[in-house]
Amino acid sequence: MKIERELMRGAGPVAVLKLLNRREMYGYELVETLAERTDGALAMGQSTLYPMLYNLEAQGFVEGYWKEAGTKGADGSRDRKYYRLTDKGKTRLAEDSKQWEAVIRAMKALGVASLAIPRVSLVSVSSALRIGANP
Amino acid sequence: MTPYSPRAVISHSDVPAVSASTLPPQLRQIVERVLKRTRLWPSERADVESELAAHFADGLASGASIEKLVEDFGDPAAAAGLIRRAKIRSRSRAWHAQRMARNVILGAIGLLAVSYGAIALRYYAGTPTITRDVRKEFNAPIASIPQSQRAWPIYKLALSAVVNPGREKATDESGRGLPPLSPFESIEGASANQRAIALLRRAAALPKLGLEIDDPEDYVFINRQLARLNADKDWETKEIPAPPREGEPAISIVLPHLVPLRSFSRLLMQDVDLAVKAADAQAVSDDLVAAMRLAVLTRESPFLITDLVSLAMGELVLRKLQEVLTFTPALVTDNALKQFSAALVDMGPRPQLVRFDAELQSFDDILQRSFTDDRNGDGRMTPAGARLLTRASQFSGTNQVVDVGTVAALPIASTFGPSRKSLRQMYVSLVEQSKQWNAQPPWSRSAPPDPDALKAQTLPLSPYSFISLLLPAFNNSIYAADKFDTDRGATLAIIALEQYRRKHGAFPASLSELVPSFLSSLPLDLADGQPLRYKLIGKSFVLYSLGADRNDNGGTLPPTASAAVGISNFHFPIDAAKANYDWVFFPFVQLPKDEPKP
Repeated sequence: MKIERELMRGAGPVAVLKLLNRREMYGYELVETLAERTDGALAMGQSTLYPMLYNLEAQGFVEGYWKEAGTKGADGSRDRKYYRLTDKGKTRLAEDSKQWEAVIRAMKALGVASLAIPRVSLVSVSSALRIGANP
Repeated sequence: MTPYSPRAVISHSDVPAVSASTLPPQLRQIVERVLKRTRLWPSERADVESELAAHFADGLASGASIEKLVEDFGDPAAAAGLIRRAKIRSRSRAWHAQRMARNVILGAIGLLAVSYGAIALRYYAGTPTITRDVRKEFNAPIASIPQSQRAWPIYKLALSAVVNPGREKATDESGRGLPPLSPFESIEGASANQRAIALLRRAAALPKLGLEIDDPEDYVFINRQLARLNADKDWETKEIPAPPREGEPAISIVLPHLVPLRSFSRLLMQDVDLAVKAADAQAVSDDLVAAMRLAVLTRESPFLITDLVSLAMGELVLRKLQEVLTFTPALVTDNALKQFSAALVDMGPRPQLVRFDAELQSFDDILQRSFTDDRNGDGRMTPAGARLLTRASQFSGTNQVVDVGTVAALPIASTFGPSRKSLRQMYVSLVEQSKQWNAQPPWSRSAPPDPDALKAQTLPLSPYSFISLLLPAFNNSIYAADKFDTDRGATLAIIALEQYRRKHGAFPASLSELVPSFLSSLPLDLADGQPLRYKLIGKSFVLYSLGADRNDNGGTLPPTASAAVGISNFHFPIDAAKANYDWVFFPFVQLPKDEPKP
């Protein structure tokens, strides 16, 4: 199940920051990982991911750089743009993680987590992204 | 974190050329659509293109179908919008500051344009409401004058009776052509025009002028007669279109009668010379009285210009009267002296010699034709006002430049410039100041009203121009009246001195002996408010003012006519070279003209 756009707007950037906190990644890799790791809940197309990455880049949370891909394509070597988390991005991720934990606790207390989002709850999203956990 | 080799990193400024051209057409189209819609800088587009192309290439390499990649991409248009927004956010602070400044400027320009549009619309929608017929107001007092008391019809007869004296192709001793003799300014003219002069004397006996201003028949009549006297052969048949009257503003009022009336004054002075030569005491007396009455009748129209013409005519007759009493007092009878005194009293006193109320009426007429009317005496300038202002500037000879900028500024001037009410208050204030200033004795006045200060703040065709263009020279008119009234007082004293001499056999030792039997009060010197200076010299006397230098030079005359210029202009700095002379009323001396320079 894909989550609502408004919810995605809040969760998507945190999810991307979290993934990049583990290691630098390029766009396609991010898309694939998000879909796979969240059971499709945070799967996003390029039309969502790249604007999000550019925004995070504009805000200084991530930085992108081009480097030659380790694998060679049929057309020879291919370049990819990799993204990595900046110090500012790490700080932001820590702040966002705390907020998400507070939201999750509040939702749990209200019993919303088990009713409103039966399959992919915010708890599972949080769990999947290991928010708050050490990488 | 996966380490990466710095050598493998490619800088932002050196974005690799990963082209979408190597992608299958469906994917390439998506990239191209996104890029086209982003409207980003070329370097930004190259970056986005490379990344999207790399993304699709990765997808294909991982085994995803083209259809799946297309489906997963999402809406290219939405992506383009979001990418554009994000990329713009990434641009430098300087660029953002520049964009903000540009947006502020463009916004301000837009706001100004919209505001100007609204102001212009309001301006061009404004129309004046004409509620007063100022011409009728001016002519209303004339309508009640009985025909039998009107001098103007007789002056018209006199004009049609004037003939040229006949010397039209004369030459001087060296054979050079002489200009034709003026019927009004030569003794020959006076001699040839005794019939007209008799009519002038008759007209002078009537109590009123009775001239309706702006009468088109009068306009045609006067111009036709002047054409005749200018030896225009077609004078009887030539087309003389009278200026339109109906609906025309008061500033277009023409006063053509002032030309013949002033000429009549000169003609009468020529006839005095003729009568003196002929020792015709009655004619001398009749002409002088007729000329004085003519100056008074001329003032019937309440305009400042008529007052100034009247003053000029009065100056002419005062000079002649002083001349006659200096050289040929025997030609002046006792009765004539009384008549002269009475006529001179009628020509004053000073505060009434210049009037400003008609100027205010004319200004009100301008306002009602130029501004909207909110029924409360206020309003804003209209396009009709701008047209009138342009016309007034041509009329006044200033010819204000009406360029595109000026026209564009008119709506702004209409909205933010002075309103109808404030302009009127300004004009009324100037009129009142001038009236008060005029009412004060000249020697005790404070600084004059300064309309020039107002003129300094005027812009072409701004509503202030109504004042600067239409404000007559109030101060100069008052100076002219001051001068005339001093001269008039001096002439009354000269008459009284002659009456004293006739009674007592000699002139008095001091002027004070004339009061009250021969003179109601002592004539005062414009220089200091003291009685005019009087010195008994043998059997005659000298009567003079200190003159513009305000020093008593004992009645010393300037040596030449040009040296005398400025002696009686008390309100302006006098040339040091002219500082040692006085303004002498008696005896009359015809100052020689300057010797031509070798």
